Amino acid sequence: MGMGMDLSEQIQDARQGNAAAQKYLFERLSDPMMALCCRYVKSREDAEEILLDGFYRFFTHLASFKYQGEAALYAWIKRIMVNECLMFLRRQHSFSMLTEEAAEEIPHADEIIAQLSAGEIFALIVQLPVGYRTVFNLHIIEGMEHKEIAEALGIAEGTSKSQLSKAKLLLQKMLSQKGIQYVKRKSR
Amino acid sequence: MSNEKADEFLSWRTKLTPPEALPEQGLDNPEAVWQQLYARLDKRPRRRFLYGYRLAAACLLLALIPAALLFRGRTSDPRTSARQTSDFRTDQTSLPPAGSPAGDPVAGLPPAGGSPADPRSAAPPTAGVPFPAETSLPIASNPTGKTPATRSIPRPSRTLPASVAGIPLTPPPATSNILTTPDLPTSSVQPPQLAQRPPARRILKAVSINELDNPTATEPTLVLRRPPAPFRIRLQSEKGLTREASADRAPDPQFLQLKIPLQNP
Repeated sequence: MGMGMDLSEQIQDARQGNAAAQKYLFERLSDPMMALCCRYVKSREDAEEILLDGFYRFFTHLASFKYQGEAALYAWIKRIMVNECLMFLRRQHSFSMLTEEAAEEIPHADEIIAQLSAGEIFALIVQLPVGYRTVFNLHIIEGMEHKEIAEALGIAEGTSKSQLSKAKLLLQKMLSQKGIQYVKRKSR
Repeated sequence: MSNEKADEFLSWRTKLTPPEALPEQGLDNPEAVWQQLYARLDKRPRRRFLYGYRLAAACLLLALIPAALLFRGRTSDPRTSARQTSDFRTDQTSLPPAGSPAGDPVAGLPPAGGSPADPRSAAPPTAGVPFPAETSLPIASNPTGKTPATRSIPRPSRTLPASVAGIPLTPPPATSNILTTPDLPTSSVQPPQLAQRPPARRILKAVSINELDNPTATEPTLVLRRPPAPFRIRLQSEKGLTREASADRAPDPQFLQLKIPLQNP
């Protein structure tokens, strides 16, 4: 409760241009937002640029934000950062060559998936190609529908689905290798 | 939320979504990034200030343009204003009507109680004469000798009395222009004097010589000499013609004085 009240007051002060309140919000939100940006963009320098643009947009549009709790604040700034990442990737023409080919089916490695930590999941995701990674992030992690993804990236809905299936296939391949290593490591 | 066969990956969302999920992926130097961000945020109010300044200047211009258009036709030069005023008065009082003899503004006026045949005096004395609403006046105020600008001075449309002190007024034509010498410098331009109107001469009534004894005539009369009219006389059976016959020069008005030339035809 106290933290919520504190966050609400800091947001109110940041709306009025209080630099201390703005710095407080930045320090509180910068690390998770930086991790989000790094999930979409491999380069950390690019991720920092996206983070700067996202926070600038966050503070300049803070007056229009209605505070309804910490979760709402996280959801709002996450949406801003994801949009900034997509704009950056669109400027890089990352989605112009995506095709609609379906991926082949391979057996799932469910038990390995459940045992991975956040850091291991992050390391797997960033190894995906940009098209696979973006659609996987948007659909699996952010929970967007294929129609929304297609509109956001300027691609067909079928392309979004095929990119997701290919991302899963590649991840399962990587997980299979990781599972073999994991079994080998466990059998020693 | 998708219903596809991605359920095995949905557990990843709960692992990656919390803010504290990946602490090792945070900023390397948050203070430096904050300084960059603060510098960008600090530029924003200055831009707004400049934007407001430009907006205020635009509003000021929008307010001044109609005012400038409103006062464009007026002048602040008192000499020009006085001159225009005197010109206006001259138009009313001393300008001769079109077709009247130049130089004598009163010469063209009809005698008092003018004849009915005169169309100017035929108008009823109370009838108003419409004054032209606008007169084009050239203003010679340019000392450089350029062509003087002609300004159109709006005047209120009004009605002047048809006559002043028994003297009928005729308005000047609407297109009459008062031309001034453009070569004169501004300092030498004197406001034109009002036309020196000579004292009104009383036009005496012409009467016949037989009306001299009329006691009812109150006005002074002017006795005009008729041109001598020769007539036939007979003197002691001699025929001849008189050259002059006048009563005023005779010492006794009961007798007619005759001048008979020596060589009668």
